[in-house]
Amino acid sequence: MSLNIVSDRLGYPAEYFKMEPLPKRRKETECDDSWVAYPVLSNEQSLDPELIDAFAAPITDKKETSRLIKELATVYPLRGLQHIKRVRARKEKGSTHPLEVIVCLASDAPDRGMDIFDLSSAGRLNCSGLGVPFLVKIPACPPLTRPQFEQASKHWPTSFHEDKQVTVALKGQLFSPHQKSKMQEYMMAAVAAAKQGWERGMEGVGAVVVDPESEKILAIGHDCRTGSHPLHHAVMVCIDLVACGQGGGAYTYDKYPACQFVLPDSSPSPRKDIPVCGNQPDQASTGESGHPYICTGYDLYVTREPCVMCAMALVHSRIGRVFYGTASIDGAFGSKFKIHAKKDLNHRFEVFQGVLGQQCEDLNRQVNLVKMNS
Amino acid sequence: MSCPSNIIVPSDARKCLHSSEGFIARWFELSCRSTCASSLLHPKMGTDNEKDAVVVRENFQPCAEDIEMWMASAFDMAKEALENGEVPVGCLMVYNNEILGKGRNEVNETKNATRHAEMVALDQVLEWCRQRDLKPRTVCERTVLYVTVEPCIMCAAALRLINIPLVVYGCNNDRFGGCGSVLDIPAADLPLTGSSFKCISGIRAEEAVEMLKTFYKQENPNAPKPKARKEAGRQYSLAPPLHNLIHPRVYDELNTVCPTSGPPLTPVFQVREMTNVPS
Repeated sequence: MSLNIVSDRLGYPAEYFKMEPLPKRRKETECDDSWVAYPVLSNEQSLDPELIDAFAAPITDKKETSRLIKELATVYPLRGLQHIKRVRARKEKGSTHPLEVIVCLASDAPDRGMDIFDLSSAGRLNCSGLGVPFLVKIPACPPLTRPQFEQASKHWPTSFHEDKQVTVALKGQLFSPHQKSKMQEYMMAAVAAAKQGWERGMEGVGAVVVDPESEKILAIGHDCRTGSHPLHHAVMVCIDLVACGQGGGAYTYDKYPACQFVLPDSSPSPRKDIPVCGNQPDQASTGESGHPYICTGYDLYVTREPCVMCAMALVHSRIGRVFYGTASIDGAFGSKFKIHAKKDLNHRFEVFQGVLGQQCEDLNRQVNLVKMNS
Repeated sequence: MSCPSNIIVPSDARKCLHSSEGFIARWFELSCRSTCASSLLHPKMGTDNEKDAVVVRENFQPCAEDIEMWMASAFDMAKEALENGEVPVGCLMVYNNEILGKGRNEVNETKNATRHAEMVALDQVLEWCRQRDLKPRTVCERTVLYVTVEPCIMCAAALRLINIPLVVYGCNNDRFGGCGSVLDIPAADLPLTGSSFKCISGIRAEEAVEMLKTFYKQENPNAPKPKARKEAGRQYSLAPPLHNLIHPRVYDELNTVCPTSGPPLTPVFQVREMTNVPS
């Protein structure tokens, strides 16, 4: 009965749910090395470098090299391309002319396909020592990540100011074993909440808000959209639960015992002691300095990539970081948009995906199976 | 819950309504986003009353007089909010000539940054549906949102999710706007995020901007206090106001949203200063 209710209200196109066999469930207690958290980077950082056409030529007389570089810099300065190295060494050994130089951008050349004397800019450039020019593609922007640098270097050498943190993150090695086990613990709480929500006829999505400093869970919520409110997605529920913990909040969640919060200022307590909503003494926001301000500095763990509404709600709430398990079609942290990296917005933050990816994917599969069987 | 059954339109608003009627009609035509307009007529696949929904959406065109009247009411609310030290955004949801939801920002009192006027108004619509045992979807599909400022990205997505067909707003929101300013959510390809909606924008835009300017000259007492800057010798808040809709630096740009062709909209309320208004 409840299964049918779920599937009726999903309204997703059938092709979204390709039925695949369910994998054997792992024991949830063992430390899981099956997942890796990867950063969801901005397009600038993650797309292949854009390329532009340029004329290069071999240096036939090595002694002319320094003069040529000097003259080329005056006659054909590469404006806005400070990352491009003007001269490159040919990779093949034993070549007669081991050095090549960028003469000019194709757009700066007098005409396409000209020989070197046409490129001499009416004699301003002394072309002695330069061989027959040829067309190359050079990266238009400085590479921001190591993969981009490696990609760019296939075309022409560039300088690269490496952000080591990003490189490590892209390898999936940013988090220590302790951090990873905490991340797994938080996501497991989100998965558990998702299951409880799902059993009540909601979509199988769960979320958890954590204060990374105290390593304490502040709120646990699950999707409640098929209950009383169509916009009560798991993230929206969690944001409001955090507000409840700060003495605010717009809703009560008495109907949903799995949706819980704690006071951020209260002394650390084991997770099982998380009190349910409504039983909280009103003592939040009393501290003079450093009292909690919406979700500033907190981390969110959510089983599925948030939709546009939830993603923007997290921007408004000044969330610290977001971790999600699995991507979603309309997702706004990588799939359809990258709201966390949008320069126009006043708050940006890091997003990681893949935390406990398989278990989160399984939650979607449960829904899929119901859909297929109904 | 209070659902006002009638709406008070100030007498000067009525005067204005007649004087700029022609302009509104033209502005209406100009501002409808063509992409959204065509998608509005899409049959909603999978709805129980598919045919009905199409008819409703096709006929869903409030007249210019109605638009102006409801916007006047939204501006009343914004003005009232400003006088009470609240973010001056007025917002109402109208169904069958009845206001089902009226909202103002409740971010500070709820400590929940998602409590924008639109979300508050929507809650009232849902409560109205609950009391009458009506499906929220059938009601929302015939409900227009009138709001003095362009809905933010979050609210625009929320409006999609609940299938609102038409949004009428005043000034652009260059900071967070989700109806074209930062992202164009109503027209975006989001198959699992409800349905796209149509927008009519620029109604009394200068006035909406002026109210926001006035508001953001004040400080937000709820923002956390930054550490004192010793070299500056004084303490001041660097934190932006909570739910800062418009940044001061974009105020001037905002004036460009006003129509440059055709007569300006006659302000119903006194606008403190008007800039860039074509004569």
